[in-house]
Amino acid sequence: MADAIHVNGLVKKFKHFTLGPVDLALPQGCVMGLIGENGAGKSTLINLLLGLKRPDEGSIEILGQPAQSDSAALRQQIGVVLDIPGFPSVMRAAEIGKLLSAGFPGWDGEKFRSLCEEFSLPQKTTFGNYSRGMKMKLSIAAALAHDPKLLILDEPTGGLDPVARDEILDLFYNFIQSPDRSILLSSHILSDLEKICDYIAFLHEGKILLQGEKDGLKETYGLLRGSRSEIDALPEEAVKGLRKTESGDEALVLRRYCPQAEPVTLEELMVYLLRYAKGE
Amino acid sequence: MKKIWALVQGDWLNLWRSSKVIFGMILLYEVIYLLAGEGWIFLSVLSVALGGMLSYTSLGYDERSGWNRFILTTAYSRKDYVLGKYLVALMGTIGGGVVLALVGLIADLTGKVPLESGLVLMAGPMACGTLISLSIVLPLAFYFGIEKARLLNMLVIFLIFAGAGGMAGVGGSAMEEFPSLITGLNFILPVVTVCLLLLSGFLSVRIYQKRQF
Repeated sequence: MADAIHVNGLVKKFKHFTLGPVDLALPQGCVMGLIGENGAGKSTLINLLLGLKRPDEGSIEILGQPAQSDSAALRQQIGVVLDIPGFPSVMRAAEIGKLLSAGFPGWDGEKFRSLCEEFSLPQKTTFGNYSRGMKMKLSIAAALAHDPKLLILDEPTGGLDPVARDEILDLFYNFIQSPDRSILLSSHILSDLEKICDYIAFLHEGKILLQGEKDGLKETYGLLRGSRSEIDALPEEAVKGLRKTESGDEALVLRRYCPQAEPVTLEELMVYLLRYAKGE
Repeated sequence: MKKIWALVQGDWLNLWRSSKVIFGMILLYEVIYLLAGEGWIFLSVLSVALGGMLSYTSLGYDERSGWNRFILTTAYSRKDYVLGKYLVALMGTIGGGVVLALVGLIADLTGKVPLESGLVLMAGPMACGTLISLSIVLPLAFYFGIEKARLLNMLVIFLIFAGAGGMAGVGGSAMEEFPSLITGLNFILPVVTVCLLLLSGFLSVRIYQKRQF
């Protein structure tokens, strides 16, 4: 299976922060969730993928083409939602659609209109007067309206209520039904990623801490709740995170050493690996 | 060209909705001028220079909304975006010049100010001066961002118009003696302006293609 995104040895240096080296592969037809704490480098990575920043080292291929090529044909195949939806604040949805339609040869005006209707976006209100949720919905409608092969989404469900989030996840789920379509999705709402992602890439301080199939990660790790003596009985390499509470200890463990460990959520995995990592 | 034109239309819609007060002020001052027949220097600056500077205003709106960043993720190219801003600058300046010339003609027809007083004749040099200043400042705006470029803009405008004023003072007597100098300047100024504008456009495209967000 070809990769929709292939990142190799990517490094971007700033004065007080370095992203990378990052190696990442998103197979076509799959959804990858990009997770990590604030400042971990998720948005920087997305900016690099979109050609908004240039790498200092390494390479990025998107749909088989170099990401930095400034190729209109490549961007035609990518739908983007940025963390700050950047449409002119005095324009209405239909005017934004018209502006984007001239830039995208494959723009489907009818699809854009129907998505705006589906999201109940007011047609007479200007973008600047939309709520945060409405702005994100319009961005998503714009990202989907030119029939892209890849969606790159930076916090697309941020600011949305649970019902709206569910509605949007359904849209993404429908989008991904075609085997040549893929999604890279960055979000702090890990329950959303649990629902839709096939792969997870976990960024921490600019580096990939974990990457793999979501189900594989959840099979690899588990939560053991018990006494300190039970946890201490496990081999040292089995315990990846330890949390001490008044009611007992909890440990993130490798399930191959401890099959009775309970399934772990992405949120628990992230919290244990960051906050309660063993030895820190 | 279709893409650039779509961007320009978007820019004008954006400017019209966001800057109605500025357009209203220009119109009001032009009416006052037509009634009073005085203040043509301020009027020419207001019409032409402000018309050209609408391109900065447009860049400022884009930076504030994030449109300048988002558009680079669409199938519009960086070149489309930059050239669109140059077209807005050109349209604003020429539009301002046309308005100025029309106001001058109306003032003449209504007997308020005769054409010889120079308002109509000022439209061309004023437009050239504005475009020369835009040619210098727009590459800086694409490099540094609009807020820093606005400060530089004031300096560039001051230097250009003070320089032009100084040259007019020094060369004024020579021009009176040799009227062919005026004819020569009338030819040279537009040529210099077009050359600078083309060079500036090329430079801005190169700058923007390397800019990171």
